[in-house]
Amino acid sequence: MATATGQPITKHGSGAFSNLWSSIKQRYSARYITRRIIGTILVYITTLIIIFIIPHLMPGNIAYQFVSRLLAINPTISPAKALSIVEAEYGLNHPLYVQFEIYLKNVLLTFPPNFGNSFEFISTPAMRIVMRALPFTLLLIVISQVIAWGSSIYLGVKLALRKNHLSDKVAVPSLYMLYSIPIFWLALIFILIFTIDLHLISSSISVSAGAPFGKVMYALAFPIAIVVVSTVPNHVLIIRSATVDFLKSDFVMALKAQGLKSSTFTLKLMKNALLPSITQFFMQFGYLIGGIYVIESLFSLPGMGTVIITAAIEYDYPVLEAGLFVTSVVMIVSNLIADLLYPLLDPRVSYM
Amino acid sequence: MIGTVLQVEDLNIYYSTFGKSKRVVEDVSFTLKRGEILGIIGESGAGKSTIGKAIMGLIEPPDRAEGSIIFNGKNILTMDRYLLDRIRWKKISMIFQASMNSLNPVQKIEDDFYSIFRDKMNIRDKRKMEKMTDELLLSVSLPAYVKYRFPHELSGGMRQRTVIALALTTSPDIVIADEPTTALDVITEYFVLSILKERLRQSGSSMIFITHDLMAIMYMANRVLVMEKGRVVESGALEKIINEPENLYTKMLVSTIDR
Repeated sequence: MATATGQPITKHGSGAFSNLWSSIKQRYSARYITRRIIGTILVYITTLIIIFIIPHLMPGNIAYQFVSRLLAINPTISPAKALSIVEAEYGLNHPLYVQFEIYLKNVLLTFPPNFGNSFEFISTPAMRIVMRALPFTLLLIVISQVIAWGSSIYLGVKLALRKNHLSDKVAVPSLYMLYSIPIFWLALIFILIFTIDLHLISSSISVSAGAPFGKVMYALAFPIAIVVVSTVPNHVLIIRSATVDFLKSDFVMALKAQGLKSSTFTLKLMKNALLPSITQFFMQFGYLIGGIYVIESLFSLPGMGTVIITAAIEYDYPVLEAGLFVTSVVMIVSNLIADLLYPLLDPRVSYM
Repeated sequence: MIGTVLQVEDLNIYYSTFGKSKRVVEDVSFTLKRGEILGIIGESGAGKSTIGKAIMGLIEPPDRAEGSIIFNGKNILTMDRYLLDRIRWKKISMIFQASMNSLNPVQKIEDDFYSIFRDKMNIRDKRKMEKMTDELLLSVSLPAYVKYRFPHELSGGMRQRTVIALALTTSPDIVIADEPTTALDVITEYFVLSILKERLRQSGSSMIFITHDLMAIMYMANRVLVMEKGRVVESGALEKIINEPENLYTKMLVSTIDR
């Protein structure tokens, strides 16, 4: 008989923190977590190597670039002497493998990782410039994605429920069209319409890092709107098609038969739609960051994108390296979180 | 007619696939009396489950249903969504064919119960809902911890009993059981059926018991409809169908019983 005798009466996974922990223990084996963390470390080291190589592949000699910058500030110094000082300061007189060793020591063994001083803002460590810009970018990402994601789950489920209706037939092709527009072009069109034609919003509200929150939000509103408009279509389409799929399944039929309130019904479906949308979100995260960097630079917001793009244009290698490093760390950590989060959200998945 | 809870007359149901309409239920009429268990038996594709869906008002465009299903003097087929939702689960509930899959995979069993308590019975007190869930689970011989489990963490028999408990939550007038024990082994099947029968006796609900399993019908039903290719080919009291089958299909079916 199928009675389950002898099973412990435990209440797992019901929200509180202790339950979360027992839930984690139940869903992952130590082996899985170890493997996942080792994988993350390997990716981290590979990233460090690539970040070291990229500036060396860029045209021009790093030390010459720096010295010419110094000469522009103060023409009286002797170029040869400056060159030897700069080379000694940044370790550029060593062979490449020694430079790599110094680089690894500076990045791995010091906290925060030391990429040297910026070439442009000579006495400021590159890492400090980047860390000052990071909160701004994170704010832009978090706010825009919370808005985009929340509305996409709702819209996606609603559209799936209206499949074959006129609204769905109009919405899907338009969403595909919006989805195929690159974010930088969308931003230019937004500026053209809302700033130049309608004079509604200024496209260049100057704001610096550390400005009051209200002012930061004021400057961010327009860019956030653009990021939302550009990310919503993809989310909605994925959630819609996933929902259309599971609308055919038996449990949805059973839910319909229960005649629940339509808000209850929609909420339950949204919970089911959450899973495919999370996978989608993290798969798109890299593109999202790329798009956001371009937007920041377009609106001259003091975020990571502006810092990295300026550094690349100005040959500010330390800042470029630090910027790429922080971006990579954000990416790696978010992917790790996604992997560990998924089994907690989908009770059927466990990693053993 | 006094004592009749459901009256189905000239029910025709058409399924539409790729623009072509196909009649899957043809001129079916029957009545369901209070407290009675009406068995509907027939081979796969005979239209049994479709009748069950029609009674729940689940035949949606492009499919359509004609005729009438009268409940409380009103035709379910022409009812608007609002009235339908007031009847669904409160007056008529259903145990689905694939009960194994009819529980939402990403929510705990308690959430299934709680949403019915909240939306159908207007109970919002958490403690009361918990207590009622425990009682309902106990009534189908399930321990209380089941409510903290996800569907995939339960065995087939436990899920099945959970679905039965869900269907009986509101003590509805009619329960439609659509092959409730198909996926279970024989011993579990009779355990589940005996629980179902006992619970029906307690609540005084009527039941439409849909199956292709003659043994289950013999165990459960008072009266039987035999269906073949969308039509009712024979109907009557259980004893009559078993002992004096008239139709060829019924004869074949009865001959499979090892006496």
